[in-house]
Amino acid sequence: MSAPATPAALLAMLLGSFSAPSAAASEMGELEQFLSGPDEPYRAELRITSRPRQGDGSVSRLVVQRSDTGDVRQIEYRLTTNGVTRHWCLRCAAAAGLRDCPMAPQARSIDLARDLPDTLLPWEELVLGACGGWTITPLPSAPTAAAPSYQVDFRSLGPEQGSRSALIAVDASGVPSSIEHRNADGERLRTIRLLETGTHAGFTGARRALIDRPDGQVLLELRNIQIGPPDRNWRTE
Amino acid sequence: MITHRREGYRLRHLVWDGLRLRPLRAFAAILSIAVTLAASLTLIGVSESLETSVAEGYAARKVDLIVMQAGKSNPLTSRIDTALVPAMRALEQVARVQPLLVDTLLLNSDQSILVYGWEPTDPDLRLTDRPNAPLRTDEVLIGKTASRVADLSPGDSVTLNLTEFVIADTFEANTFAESGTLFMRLDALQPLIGAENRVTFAFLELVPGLSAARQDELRLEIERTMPGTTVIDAAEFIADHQLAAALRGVSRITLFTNAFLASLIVGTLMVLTVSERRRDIAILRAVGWSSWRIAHLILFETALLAVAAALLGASIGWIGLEMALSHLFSLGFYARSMLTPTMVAGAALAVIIVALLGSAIPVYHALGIRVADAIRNE
Repeated sequence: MSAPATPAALLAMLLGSFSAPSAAASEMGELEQFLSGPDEPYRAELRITSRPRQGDGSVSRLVVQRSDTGDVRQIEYRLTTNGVTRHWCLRCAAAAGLRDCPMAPQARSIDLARDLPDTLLPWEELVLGACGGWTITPLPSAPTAAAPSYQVDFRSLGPEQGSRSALIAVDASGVPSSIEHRNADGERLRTIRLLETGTHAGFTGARRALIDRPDGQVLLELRNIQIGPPDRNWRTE
Repeated sequence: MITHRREGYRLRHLVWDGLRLRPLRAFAAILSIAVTLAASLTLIGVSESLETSVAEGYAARKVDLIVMQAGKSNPLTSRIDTALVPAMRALEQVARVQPLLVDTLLLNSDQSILVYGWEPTDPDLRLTDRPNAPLRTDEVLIGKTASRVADLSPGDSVTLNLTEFVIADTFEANTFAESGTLFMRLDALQPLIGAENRVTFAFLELVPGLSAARQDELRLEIERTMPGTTVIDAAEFIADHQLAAALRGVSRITLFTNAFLASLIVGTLMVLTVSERRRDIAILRAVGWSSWRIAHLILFETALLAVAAALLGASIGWIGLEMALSHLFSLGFYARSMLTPTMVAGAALAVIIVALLGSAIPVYHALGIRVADAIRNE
């Protein structure tokens, strides 16, 4: 099954389904809708609580603002930890792939192979959902299983990022309940538990997700979301 | 006098015969009206009890004004700078300021809980077994309802947003909202949620005897000198309390819907009764019964049904309210029943009046029966 134009990852799940389901979405039902990224511009605020197995943890505030011009999608990230704010901006288009925003020289380049600074949240969790692509395959389930599970194969965003796949378990209503990410060798990288879903600005999605990694845990909480045209002054708030 | 007694006797017998001959209809009428009354009593009782519980909680804290961030439709997302607190304390009209930070945290990786952060010296953080020692930053207090629902007791360890704390004590809250929460130190909650130097509210207790005009002046002064804040009267804040306001709205809609339903049920059943007794009514008219006496017959029968329904409905409603509050208590909402026997009696009386209003159509229908037509059609 081919991926829709706006693919999936954690941020898309946190924000929920934003658009009318495509033909592919109608086939895959609730899961496909949940994985579909937003069609409309939005601004979301997330709280990221990182607790490494060793060392001190951190609490960060991440504001994500997305706007679209034609086929080009622009996403800006503003991360604040301990009063220090950092800014990133990227653009993605089907033809040109992923690149930095030309009009935002102050913004840093995103290193997909790493975590957001001071957090245990991998960059790819945010970027895959906004700029990647995926293929979903239903997995054969045991007759006694309450709900089916799926394998999602993500399209690589760059040479430094190897292929990724995830096993997604859904609940009885078709909403994902957990996502297990694996590398090309099939080793588990992290498990995401979607703890709470709810409706923000008329869109249903996850409000709280807990990521278990071998080196610690990350709690993501959607604090606020606004749907609408981009706010030009958002960096000065 | 003797004539009147005999006429009264006959009227009662006619009504009794009407009910006795149609027991199923009488039962259906009584049950339907009783259920509408019971549902209304339960919902209004829950709404009133929760709202009063919130009001009592703020009154116990002596909260007169609440300062929060302007433009926030959800008060829990308000954030104001703690630097404003000393400025508020410096105001001569203000007797006490209680800053409070509120947020919903992840408890033990599988459930959410509302957490209140108070200043370390706040009386809300007082421990029963060590009243002179402040709560530590790695300790929390748990509301009794939260303690029961989450099966947590003093001495237990809990994780809140991935950080470990110890439950030091339980507390007895006097509002339905607080009994299901955790209390902790403000300086422990702020870094836990990345809200350093921020609080959600500042509760202001004003000096005694401050006039309403002076309170309004104070509100304006705070909003003018502390930009980005709004000052709300505690009563106004309670009225806007989301859960209480939602319940109030639902209960009012239910009340009007149920009153209309009760009226409709009575009207329909009595129209049916009048239709079946056309011949009886025509004979009564033929033997000289006045329109008023015919109307009296229908009203009396309606009143009998309504009284029985009111007694049954009030009893079910009272029991329903106690069960609803008990269920809410098990879910973490503490509220004591605010219904009094006078209120229940008032509701029952209202049902009787509504039922009598519902009998207007059957009365009109009965008075329109023409003796000759009714007897000929038989």
